[in-house]
Amino acid sequence: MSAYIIRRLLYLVPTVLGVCLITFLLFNVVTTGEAIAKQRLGQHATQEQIESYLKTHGYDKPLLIRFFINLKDLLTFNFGRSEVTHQKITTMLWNGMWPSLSLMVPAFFFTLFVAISIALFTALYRNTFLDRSTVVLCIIGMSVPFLAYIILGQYILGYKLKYFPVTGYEWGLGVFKFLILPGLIYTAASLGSDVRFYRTVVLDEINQDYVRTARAKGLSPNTILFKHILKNAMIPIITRVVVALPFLYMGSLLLEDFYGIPGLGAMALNAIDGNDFAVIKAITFIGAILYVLANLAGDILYALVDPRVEFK
Amino acid sequence: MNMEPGLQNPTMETSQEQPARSLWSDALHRLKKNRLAVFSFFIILIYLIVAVLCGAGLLATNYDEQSYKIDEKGNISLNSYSPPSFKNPLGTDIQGRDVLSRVLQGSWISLRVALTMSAIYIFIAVLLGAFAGYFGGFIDDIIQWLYQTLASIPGLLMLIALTFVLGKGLTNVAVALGLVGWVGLCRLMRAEYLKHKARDYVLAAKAQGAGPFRIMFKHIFPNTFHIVIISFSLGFVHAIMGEVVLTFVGLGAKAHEPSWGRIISEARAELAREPAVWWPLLSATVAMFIVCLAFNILGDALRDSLDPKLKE
Amino acid sequence: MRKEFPSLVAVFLLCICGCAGMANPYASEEGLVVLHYSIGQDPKGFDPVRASDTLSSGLIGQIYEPLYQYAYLKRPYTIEPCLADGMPEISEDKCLYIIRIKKGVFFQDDPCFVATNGKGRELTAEDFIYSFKRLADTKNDPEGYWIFQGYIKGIDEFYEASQSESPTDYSKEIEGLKALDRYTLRIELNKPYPRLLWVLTMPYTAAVPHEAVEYYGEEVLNHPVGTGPFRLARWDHWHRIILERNPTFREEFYPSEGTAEDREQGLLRDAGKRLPLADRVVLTIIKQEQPAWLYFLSGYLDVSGIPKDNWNTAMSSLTTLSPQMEAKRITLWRERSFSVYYVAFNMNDSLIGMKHPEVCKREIEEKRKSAEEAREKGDSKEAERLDKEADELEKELPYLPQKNEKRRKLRQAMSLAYNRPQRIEIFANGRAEPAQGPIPPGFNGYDPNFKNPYSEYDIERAKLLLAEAGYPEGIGEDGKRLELSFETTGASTTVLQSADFFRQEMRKIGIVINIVQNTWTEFQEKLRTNRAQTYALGWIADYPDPENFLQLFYGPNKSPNPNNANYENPEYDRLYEEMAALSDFDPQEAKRKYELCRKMEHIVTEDCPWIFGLTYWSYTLNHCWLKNYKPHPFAYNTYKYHSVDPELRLRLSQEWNRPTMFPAYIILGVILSLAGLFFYKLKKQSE
Repeated sequence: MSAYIIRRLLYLVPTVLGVCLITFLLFNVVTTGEAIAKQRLGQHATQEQIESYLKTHGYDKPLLIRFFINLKDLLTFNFGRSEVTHQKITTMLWNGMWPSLSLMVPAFFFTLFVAISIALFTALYRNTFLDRSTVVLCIIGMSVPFLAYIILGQYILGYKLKYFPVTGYEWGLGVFKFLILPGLIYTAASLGSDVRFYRTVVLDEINQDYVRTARAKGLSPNTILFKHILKNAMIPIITRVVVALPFLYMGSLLLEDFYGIPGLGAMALNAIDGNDFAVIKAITFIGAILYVLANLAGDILYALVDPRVEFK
Repeated sequence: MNMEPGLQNPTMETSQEQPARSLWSDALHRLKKNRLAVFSFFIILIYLIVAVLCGAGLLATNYDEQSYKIDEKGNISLNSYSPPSFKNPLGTDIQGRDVLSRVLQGSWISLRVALTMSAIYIFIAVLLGAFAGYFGGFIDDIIQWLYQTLASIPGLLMLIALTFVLGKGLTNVAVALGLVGWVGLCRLMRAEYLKHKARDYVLAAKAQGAGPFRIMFKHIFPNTFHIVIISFSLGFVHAIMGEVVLTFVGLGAKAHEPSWGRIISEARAELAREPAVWWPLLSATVAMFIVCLAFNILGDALRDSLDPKLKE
Repeated sequence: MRKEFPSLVAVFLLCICGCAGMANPYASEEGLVVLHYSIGQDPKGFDPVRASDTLSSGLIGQIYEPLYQYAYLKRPYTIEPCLADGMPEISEDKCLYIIRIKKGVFFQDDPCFVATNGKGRELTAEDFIYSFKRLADTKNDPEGYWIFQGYIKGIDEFYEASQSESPTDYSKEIEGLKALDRYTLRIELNKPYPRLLWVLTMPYTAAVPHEAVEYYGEEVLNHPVGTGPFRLARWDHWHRIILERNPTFREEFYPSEGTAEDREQGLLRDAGKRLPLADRVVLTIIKQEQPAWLYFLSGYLDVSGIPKDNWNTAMSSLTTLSPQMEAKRITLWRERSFSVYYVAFNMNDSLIGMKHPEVCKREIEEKRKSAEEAREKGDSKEAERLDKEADELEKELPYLPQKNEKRRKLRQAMSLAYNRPQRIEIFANGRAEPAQGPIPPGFNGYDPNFKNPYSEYDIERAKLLLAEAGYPEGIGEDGKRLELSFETTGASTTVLQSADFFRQEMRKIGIVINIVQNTWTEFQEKLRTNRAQTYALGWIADYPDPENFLQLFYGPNKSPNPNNANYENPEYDRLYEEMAALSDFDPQEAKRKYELCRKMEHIVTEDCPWIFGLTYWSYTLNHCWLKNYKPHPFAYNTYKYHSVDPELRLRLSQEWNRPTMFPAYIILGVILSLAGLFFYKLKKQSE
């Protein structure tokens, strides 16, 4: 087992290097240091200022050396300072991570809970009117643009009915009331595809042989549903969850922007507005690393849950 | 045993064509039975016709014309934000332009984005997938590394970084979407090629002396074409939704382009007016919704009828 | 699991019902006087040398203090001492200022004062010298250096010396800045600077203790240490800023002088009370106008402007509030905002620009001269190139007047096609006027009788002028339609809609406008490198002197300085130089200044480097519980005068925010019945 984990860890090396390479190429070769400097220093910059900027940001060195410096900085999580706010990027990321997580983690697991409940529900009523209408509703839900969910949700539930604050955030427990509305909108928007996925997963399991055997043994349908089917369906569910987790760290660009949640998504959007390459680079890199790690975790979990996986 | 090449040819042909032909006719047969899918197909057809007519300047040509109104005192002013009426079935926007015409023109823009994106990502995915699957070994490793790296970089940020590099505008957004979106299809294509390269008809063609490119694209490709079709149909939805988000972020459609994303982005403030200007948001959302729904349903139906085993 | 589930549902139900009181965004603030304001963006930080935007200035001004400030209630705008002790003594030749500084003013307590164990140190004249040096130190990326550039003796040398790679030497003296004793500052100028007092009210010139800069280094932008009425208590980026009362703030009292109108409005009720009146200021960062507006309507913000899309909710005419606002006892402040919004033409551009023959001659001379120099150095290639360029300019020279004339007509035509009345209606809800020239109405130096002949909307005349400019119906001599690019300053809905409207306006006279979308940073870069052909911007006055607007057309101020249109007219420049040395406080000089303003206005409106667009009225609303609020267009330190009645605010905002519950009950009903179905089926199956 440990050998398997080590091997999987070794597989990470080329991917991480690849991520570094791509971010480096995007931000160093395709856009030059001079262009960044000019954008950064604004309209009052002189040529000397541009040159000193290039020097302090290391753009005067050869490409290969820059790549290795860049690699070292990325791998030691040394992202420097934002070029717009002059804040330390690591601090920015650290501060922005919590609001994003506090929005996305509860929303994600709530959605998961609701989606699996509905999937089980449709499994109970499979091939009836209820099942079919759920499927249709799912496709309908998937076809509405996310932006429309947000705009309408904020307008109706926030502005018109006054259930929730229209925007805002709070550090600490008081944050609860600010997160319900964006969380519900997240749920509403992702329910369509989630339910469809879990429905197929559950139906797949229902058609398996062991279910028939269990039924033949006279086990109650509830025991079969919760004990056997759900347990076996856990494998695809876990894989999906684990792979989705890193995206929670990123937060949601649009949700955070609309609801004034000071998370990484909103930060990314502000960085776009300010052409803040350093911040975008850092968020991209961290997101990629988390994704890679989550995939690793997923594989290991998968191996643990499913005895059929061989450690070779 | 030695066989005459001339003799082998006809049998080869049948073994290659017959499954394909029966697959297609079989699928068509199954599709025809799915009335919802047929209906969706006609909706898509209408959408395509409308889009092309708009693009050719035959339909909704007044989308950029301001209109005026005269009040009781005889003053002429812009017919800004007039609610739906007989003259403007879906009302007018801030400059007094007909929302219906703008939404129809939006279909042409979305079609352009979707086609550009599809052309790029299908080309990359098929090419790389075929190479990886067919040649295996070192080439496979490189291509796998490439798509794993790309998959681990958060999609939206990658898109943003690419549009930074390529520049703003719809064409570049479409190109960026294409450059980012090929991973999923590439994986499927690779798996298909892996499967097919051991099939008899391929071995036969090889024995006959066909070059690898001929085999890859002349012999195997037609047998994997249904996957491209399914991916294309579902990718369409992706392109339409992607345009909305990127335009909202400020990277997509320009100020004067009546794309659906542009209309929805503007609706955020318009909805909060007193009285609320709901018609641009509703029209664009409904238009998008109908097209996406049709593509979703058709894509699903295609998947079910062409390749029932292909899920997610 | 089954038994627990209904109780889970019950908890969820309670949560939903509990949201009746949930819309209030603030934590409990019992017993404190807290101001609730909002800002549209995260500020850039709290470093006075970078206070170039109104948002940062408005925050820095509450924490750091300069020598002088505007009298809060007095109109016309007058200056009173802030950290200075009395007005300055000015020498005969107006080049020497002696400023005394208040004794017994302490910086706020902060760990950076290591020597005193965190207790704040007393402010001295040296602190100002240090702070002015910081403003001239390129290593700080100072954005306000222009206010002293060329004026204070020796400051330019300091500025240049700071460009070297070694750390800037702050012990290096600036000739014009001296501390005569602990509390006396002596400023010596190269030439009279009539605006020096205005400038000394700006946050750029606030006193920063060197301890803070040494202790925090770059982080000083997160740790402001000032003498002001408030200190920074918390800064959650992109979310909220909390300022709290500085307990060691010096004794300063609410003004007791004001007009009868001020008295009537209750602005003098707190006269003589010690400042600041509020314990805390909570500034919520709300990027979008709509949520901020709704927060205001719900009573969660004390002050708000009126977003253009909410005009009908707020106002029933240009001067009266809507009944809905009246019922909430909201107060309206309608004042002129001293700003001009314009579309600028890049005068360096070959299609629409202008090159004055005199400027051209000067360029030729310069080229010849540097060619000579290059030849002396033996660089014949360079010399040849320069000579060639000079030859070309010389060839061009005779045609310049004619070309300039044509392009001027083109610009004038575009100005006539710019539909100001329509813009006022759809983008400003009527709260703006066509701008006649560079100086906005009501401002010092404004002439109400001046009418710019190109500020009307007249398509026919525009077409005529366009034909005279060589583009009949928008088609040039080469048979091609005239195409111009228009750079946006951002990607917000309003900016884009306005750009699109500009495209439509120009389309009416046959000109094609290509809109180029930029972020603010990209746009600034295009200005800097002269790559913008046309673009829309606004200018808001920094201080009440017409020079602030007229400098935008002064030749030596060309890009990257504020003259972004790169307009250069030697005649104008001569007038400007004379005007800039004149003071408003001397009646004789003020009269001459006014005359000069008229001449300059005439030249610049005729040459039309800008389409003078709109000048706005500023509308501000405040709730009845906010006390002592009076807008001031130049002052950045007004929070100390504001106060609220927290009980009234709490009572009213609760009254205004009763949610409509029945849709929630319907949704709950549906969810519950579905859950019921689920459990019913489960139960039936298990039986």
